[in-house]
Amino acid sequence: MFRLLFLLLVSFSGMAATESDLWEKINKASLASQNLCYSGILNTVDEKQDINSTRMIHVYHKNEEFLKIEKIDGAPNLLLMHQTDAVLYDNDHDKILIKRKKNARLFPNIFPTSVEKLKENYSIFDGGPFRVANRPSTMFVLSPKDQYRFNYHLWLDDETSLPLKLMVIDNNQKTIENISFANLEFLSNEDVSWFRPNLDPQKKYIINEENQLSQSVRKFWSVEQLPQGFEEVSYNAKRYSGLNAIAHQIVFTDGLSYISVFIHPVPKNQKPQTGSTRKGSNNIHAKYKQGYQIMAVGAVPMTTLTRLTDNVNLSNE
Amino acid sequence: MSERVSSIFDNELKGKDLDISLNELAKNPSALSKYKTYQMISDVLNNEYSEVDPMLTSKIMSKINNEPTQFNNGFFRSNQSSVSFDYKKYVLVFTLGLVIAFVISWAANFYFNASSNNFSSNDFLASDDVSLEIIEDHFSNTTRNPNYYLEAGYQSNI
Repeated sequence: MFRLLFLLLVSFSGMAATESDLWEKINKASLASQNLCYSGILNTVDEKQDINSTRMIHVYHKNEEFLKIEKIDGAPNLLLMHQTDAVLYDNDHDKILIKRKKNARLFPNIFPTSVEKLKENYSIFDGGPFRVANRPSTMFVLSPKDQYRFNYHLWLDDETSLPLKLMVIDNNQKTIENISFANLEFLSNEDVSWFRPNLDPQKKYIINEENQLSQSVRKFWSVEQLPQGFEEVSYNAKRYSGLNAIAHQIVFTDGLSYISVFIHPVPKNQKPQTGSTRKGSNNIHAKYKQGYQIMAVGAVPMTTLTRLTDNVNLSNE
Repeated sequence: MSERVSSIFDNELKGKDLDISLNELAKNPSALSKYKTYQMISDVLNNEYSEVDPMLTSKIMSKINNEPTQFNNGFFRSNQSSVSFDYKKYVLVFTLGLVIAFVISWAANFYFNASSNNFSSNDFLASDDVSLEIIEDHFSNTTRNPNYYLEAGYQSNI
């Protein structure tokens, strides 16, 4: 009886709010994740159902974002991020490796610059009320309009619209990504005195600057007929161990789903990889073309990866 | 009368006894038939009977020897007193079975792959063959999971 009432309430709430209203909630969630001050513990569940926890603090101070994330379990790695510039402090026994990063989209700030882009490829539904991290929230389901992406379930805080939980469900109804706040506190002040690493005088700090290979590389590939809604957002080049050549990584996204396409020459004494497999939450599809290994990786259906690798065109380097 | 026919045939009778016996034989059709049969057997044994093919017996025996005795699904044959196993038939049937099993297996695999739409038909990629650097670089540049980001953040440049 209660279930029936619950379903009726969910149906009624779904009917009451138009799709435009629901997308407006997503828009508010995007702004909330950037403009609010909050701290809490984030739990992530991996494929083996292991739970890992990180402590997060986010402050919006004078129109600028400050973020600090620390690992609670395992090595005490640390991330400090100001606007789009991030610095990672990676504990490696007796030394700390420091690496600069850019443009990370970390939960809860997961949305693209324009939410309008999502409307083209996802339908939105109201999934009803839930309680997450001891706070009342509403679940929203972003369901793909085609076969090139998976379902996204988002729980938004009723009071602030901040995303409290995210689940990505594949076509076999299997959860491939699960991130949620275990607890959450909204901060009343914009103090940023915490925005610094706790330096350990016993350890050696090494700055690990990436070689600027990306700028000197001539693009000898093109990807035509991308899956609907995907576009190239970043490019990296580096030398991999055991590969005496540069490997290229091109990242594509539709706003929520991300795919990396790796291209590198296959050494004469190595057998190229071809076929499909799965590793953790990611599908992988590999193809060999004109002496080059093309490998697509992403938490998307295999059809999407196959379409990408099939449409990589190479010209002579 | 049979004894008399036998005596005539064996040339045991002489002179008058032979004439009497021949007269009686001529009058008795049954005895005469018996005499003719004995004569024919004698001729055959001496290879003197022209209407009988001298190779006929050996041909018939040869045919009999070559004719397999059909039992146990045809895998065994009897050659006079000895019984032997017919390996050629067994190997043929076994090979046919293998071919059919292979065709069925291939067809099942092909249709399974086609229906799942996940993997290309002929290629196999083991997940362990995919470089860890590839996976870490993918996470490092795309993940929204803070824990993965902190774990995959560092990549040594070579």
